[in-house]
Amino acid sequence: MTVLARTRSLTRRYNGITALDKISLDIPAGQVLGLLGPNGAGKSTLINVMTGLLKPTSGSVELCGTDPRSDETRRAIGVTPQETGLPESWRVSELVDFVSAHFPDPVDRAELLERFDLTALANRQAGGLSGGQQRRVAVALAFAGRPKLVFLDEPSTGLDVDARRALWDGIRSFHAEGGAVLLTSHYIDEVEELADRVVVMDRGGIIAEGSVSEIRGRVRLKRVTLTDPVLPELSGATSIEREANRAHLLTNDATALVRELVTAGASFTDIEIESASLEDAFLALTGDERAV
Amino acid sequence: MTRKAIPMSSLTMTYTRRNLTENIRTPTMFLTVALVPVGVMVFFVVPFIGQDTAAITSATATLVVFGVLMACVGHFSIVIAAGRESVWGNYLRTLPGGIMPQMLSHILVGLVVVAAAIIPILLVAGLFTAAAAPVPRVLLAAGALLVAVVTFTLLGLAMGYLMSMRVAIIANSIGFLPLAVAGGMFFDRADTPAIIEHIAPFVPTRGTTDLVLLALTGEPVGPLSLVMLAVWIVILVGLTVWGYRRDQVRRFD
Repeated sequence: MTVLARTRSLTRRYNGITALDKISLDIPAGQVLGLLGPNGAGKSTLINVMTGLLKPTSGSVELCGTDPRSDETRRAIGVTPQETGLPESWRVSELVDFVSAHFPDPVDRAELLERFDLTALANRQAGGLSGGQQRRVAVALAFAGRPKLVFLDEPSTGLDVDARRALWDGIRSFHAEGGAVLLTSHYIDEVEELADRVVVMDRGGIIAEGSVSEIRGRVRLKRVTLTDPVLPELSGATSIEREANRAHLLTNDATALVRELVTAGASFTDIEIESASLEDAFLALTGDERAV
Repeated sequence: MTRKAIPMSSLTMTYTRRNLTENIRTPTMFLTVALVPVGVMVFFVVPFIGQDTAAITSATATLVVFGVLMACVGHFSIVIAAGRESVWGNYLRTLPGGIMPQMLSHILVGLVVVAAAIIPILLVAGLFTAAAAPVPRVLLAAGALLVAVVTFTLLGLAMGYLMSMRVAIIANSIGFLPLAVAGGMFFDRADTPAIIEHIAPFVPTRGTTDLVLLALTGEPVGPLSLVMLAVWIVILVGLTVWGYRRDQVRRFD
C-alpha cells in the first residue's frame, strides 16, 4: 500500500516546550486518519510540520516520498485556510477559481460547490458569510486541486448540525473516491463517523492508536459525581478530582463503582452519573499511559 | 498520471488579476495615490507658478517623484506586511507554484499604482500649465524616474519585511510628508530653509528628485545627493534581503 505521509521520531520544540515528541505516523493512500487530543496536545503543530509550514527540530517527515515543501508534494495535498483568513472582498466562486488555478487538474467549480452545499453562496463575498459558511468554504478549498491527501484541522468547529452533515458528506465522497484525510477534531462522534483509524495525542506524544471501535472501547467512561467529605479507597475509579465538597470520579464501570462505595460504607449524598466528556476520556487515557 | 506544474506566467496573471480586482473593490490605495499628489499640485502649485515654464516643469517633476514615493512605499510595504502576517498569506504558501508568481504580481500591480499616481499629475501639467520639455529630455527623465521607482520599491519592501502590518500602516500615514520636506521637495530651491538645505542631500527623496531634474532640465545638481542615493539603494537592498531572510527563518521556526 502506498504511504502518502510518513513521520519518524518527529520532534518539535519551541521556547523550551516540546510540542511534538517523537511522533511516528503513517498515512496510507485512501485512509481517513482521525487525530484526537485535548487543546495543546500538538495536533496543529503536527499538521504545520507535515504541511511544511514548520521545520521539525529532529526526526523526519515525508509526503508522497519527498520533502513536504516540494512543489510536487504541494500539488498532491490539500490544506484548509483558517476561516477567519479568507479575503473579505473575494466571492466564493473567485476563491475556488483562484485556488484551482494552482493545480493541473482541478475539480470542476460547480461540482466542488455542490459537494459542500455551497452552490447558493457562489456569488457572495467571503466577508459577508457566517462563520460556519466561511468554514465550509475554507474546507472546500482543500479539495479543489484533486489532492491525494487532505489536512483538515478542526473542520467542523462552530458549525451547526446541517452544516456539519454537509461537510461530512463532502469528506465521505472524497474518501469514497480513494482520497486520504488527516482529520483533527474535538468531537469524537465526528471521528467515529469518518475515520478508519484513530490516533490519540496528548502533550506532544501518541498515547493511543487503533481502529475507531478500539479507541471507543478505551474511552467509554462514566463520570460519577457525589458529595462525601471522606472517600474510601476505591479500586474502580480511574481518577478522582475534588471541587469544593463535590468529588468527581471517572470510571469504566459505574455500577461496580457504586457497589464498591456502598460496600465500603461511604457516606455519600447527591450522586450523579453521566457520560464522561472526551476531555475526561483523554485524562483517563493519559493517566493509564503514565501508570504503565 | 503525471501532474504537470502550472506555468509561472499563468499563475502570475492569476495573482495579478485577483490583486487588481481587490484593489479596485477597495480602492483606498488607488484613490490616495491618484488624488493626493495631484491635489497638492492643483491647489498649492499651479495657481502660483503655473505659467512659469521653468518653475512648473521642475515642480511637476518633483511631484511625480512624490507620487512615485507614495505609490511604491504604500503598495509594497502593505502587501508584504499583510502577506507575512495574514492567515491567508500563510495558506498561500501551502499551494503549489512557489513565491515567485506572487512577487511578480506585486510588482505588476505596483506599476499600475505608480501609473495611477503619475498620470493625473502629467495630465494637469500638460493641459493647464506652461510646463514643457523637449521629448529626448522627457525620455531621459523617465529613465531617471525608473531609478526612483526602484529606490522607493526597495524602501517599501524593506518596510514590509521589517514592520508589522500595524506599524506599516502608521508609517504610511505619517511618513511621506517628513520624507518629502526633509528632502526639500516642497521648497523653492532659492529659499529653502538652511536646516533643510543641510539635511536634504542625505535623504533619498532628494537624490531621486535631483536625478530626475538633472535628466529633465540638464541643470547641474550637487553631487552629494546622487552619491547618497547610491548609498541608500545599497542600504535598502541590504535591509530588504536581510528582512526577507529573517522572515523565512522565523516563519519556518
